[in-house]
Amino acid sequence: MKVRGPLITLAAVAALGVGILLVNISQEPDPAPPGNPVAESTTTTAATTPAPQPPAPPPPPAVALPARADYVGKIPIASGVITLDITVEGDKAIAYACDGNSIESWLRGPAVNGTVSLANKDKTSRLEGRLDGTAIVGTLSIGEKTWDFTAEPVQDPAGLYVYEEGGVRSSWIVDSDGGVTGVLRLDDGSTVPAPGLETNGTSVIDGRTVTATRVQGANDV
Amino acid sequence: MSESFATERISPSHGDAAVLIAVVLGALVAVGLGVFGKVHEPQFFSVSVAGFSSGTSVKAWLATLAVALALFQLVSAFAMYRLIPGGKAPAWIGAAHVWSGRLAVLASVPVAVHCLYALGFQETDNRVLFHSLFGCFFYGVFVTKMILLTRKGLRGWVIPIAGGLVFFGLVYVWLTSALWFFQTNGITL
Repeated sequence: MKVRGPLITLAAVAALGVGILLVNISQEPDPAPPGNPVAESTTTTAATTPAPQPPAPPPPPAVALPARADYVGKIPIASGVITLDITVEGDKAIAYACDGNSIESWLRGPAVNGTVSLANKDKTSRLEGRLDGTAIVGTLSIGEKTWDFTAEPVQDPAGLYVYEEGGVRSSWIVDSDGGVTGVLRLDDGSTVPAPGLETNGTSVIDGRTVTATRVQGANDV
Repeated sequence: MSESFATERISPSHGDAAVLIAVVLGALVAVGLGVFGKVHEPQFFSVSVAGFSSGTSVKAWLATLAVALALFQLVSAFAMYRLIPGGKAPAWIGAAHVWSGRLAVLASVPVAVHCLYALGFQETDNRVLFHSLFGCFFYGVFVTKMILLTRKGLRGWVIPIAGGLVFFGLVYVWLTSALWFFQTNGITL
């Protein structure tokens, strides 16, 4: 008995793991899981009962994002509003969030199975989102702060625009009402409000008129 | 001497061969989990526990339960090896060590299944990479330790080292997941 105890532990762990895995797999073909099945108890394996009020509905697994789409959302924060644009193209997505003043972050990552999982270059900002109806809902983290967001689909010319030259980068989000929010990052890394962006996509930076580039999900920005 | 390097090696003692076999089996489990996590298509959902705000929150709390039990494992192991000053360990400490360990690893299983099934092995950043690596490592070294416990005649340091590695693995897994979750989202149920 003494010798077999650890083997029983091993078997129990394997049985529990495989049990939960099988419950998962058995739910897989359902296009939309009806509820949040309860699988718990540390010693017995997973019993499934559909909860009447799913406390945390799992993301629908088989919903695909459009091949190309832009989403814009506004997040109220203590010091103003962060505007967020997510642009999806194929299996890639790019997001840009800024407050039109000094906060900005570029994020990129995969867009698969109706979800986007994005991060900026040094991984200090993250965005996790999933398709909910036609909008993308999720959480955005910049530095230590995390916010929930809902980004609705928008049509051209709404979307994400950028112009970069000599280490100076201006980034703009055009929302569905034509409103523009942007931040200009100087070559020393400091940020200031971006100059205006005209409806034809041009902007005047340092007295010169330049044309901003539209950013799509698969771009290499 | 022998063409097969692992199991047929001529060992100085039976115990050493047993250790080698246990380590090889544990390594196979760790690599197997990693490969499953890597090749399996992430499903982004898994069965969860009612009453929590999100699946991630459930995972964070189950992992925290496992780590709390693991801390008791460490203390009770010290007591069993007479490393705690103040005399001999109480008679129940052995059974308490066994059962707290069982509960700890069972609490971790739903979390690990969720990780492997819904998310898979990832390396999007260092936290995620190390979490994936240590998660696989934890179950591998756990298997190794369980097998070692069934063997007699092991060198005295073998079990403590294996136990220490299991503890190290679990704590590191927790630091790279649940602690990060609580820091990001606050301590929420």
